Amino acid sequence: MILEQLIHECTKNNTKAQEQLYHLLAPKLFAVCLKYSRSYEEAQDNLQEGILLVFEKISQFKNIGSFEGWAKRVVINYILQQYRNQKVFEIISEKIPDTDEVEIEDENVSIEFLTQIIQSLPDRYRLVFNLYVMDDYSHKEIAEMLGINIGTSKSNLARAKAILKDKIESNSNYSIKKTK
Amino acid sequence: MKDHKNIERLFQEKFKDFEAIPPQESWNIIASRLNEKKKKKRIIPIWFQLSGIAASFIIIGALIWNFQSNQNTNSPNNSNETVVVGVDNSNSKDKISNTDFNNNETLRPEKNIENSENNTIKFDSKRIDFKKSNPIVISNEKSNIRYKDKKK
Repeated sequence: MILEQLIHECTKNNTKAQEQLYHLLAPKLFAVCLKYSRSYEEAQDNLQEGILLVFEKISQFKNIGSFEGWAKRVVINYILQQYRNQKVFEIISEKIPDTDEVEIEDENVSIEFLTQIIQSLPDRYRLVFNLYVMDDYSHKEIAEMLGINIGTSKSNLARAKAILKDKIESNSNYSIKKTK
Repeated sequence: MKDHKNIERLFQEKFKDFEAIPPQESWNIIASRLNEKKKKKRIIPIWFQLSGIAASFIIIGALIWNFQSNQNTNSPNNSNETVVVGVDNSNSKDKISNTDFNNNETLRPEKNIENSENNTIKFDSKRIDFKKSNPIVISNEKSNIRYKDKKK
């Protein structure tokens, strides 16, 4: 079935079409959820709620741009809404941390490990990092989406990158030691 | 800043085509939630339908009742009026007994009857009722009038 047809059937609450669309979208959306959530379990919850929201709002999709991109935005907005409700953005740290000149050797880094260290970031760092680095939002857009200053968004990103870099380095050091 | 770009590039490249298949139970949960929503959506129209049927019954019932009561207005109202007349009769009978003695007195009452009939023309319905019910009523009225005249 063509995607357009599938979407049209989903607007009529056709269960079979919904299941087909789910299996088409779920792997990509679950990847998004894993990056934006604190844990695997939370990612699963966010995926379920996000997909339900996609089906609920599917009639609002106007065939402009990719459906996948639209569904992704719906899910991301849902996750951000959850964090907004939890008021995780109220703590503001404006100081930009010092950065080392060390470059990262990424050859040995697995995607599971990267997902894990993203999830372990403080909420506001994780969200800003994901929005800016993974999903190409500008600091201005992020500031609007999260209800923070542009400066805060920039400093949160810098802090997130510093933490991630440290974790990757310590991991690669560990693996180097281990191989020796 | 160079390593920052590297970190960004590292994550972008690694996650570029990243896909993760969620556990099977996720779809089961979503499917059951979708079913719940469908049931809720179905329930609402049923209520609308039922309330619509109920409303139409009430309207039809009201119309029938209204129509019937309109038809009945002629007979029950007449009976009411005759009852009133009857009451008048009973009263007037007593009055008749009082006035009978004076029957022969004058011719004035008859003139008054004509007057009173002229008056009653204004109340068409009452006048008709009197005629319908029986002539005695009229005679009673005569006596009534006589009585009134006497008072004068």
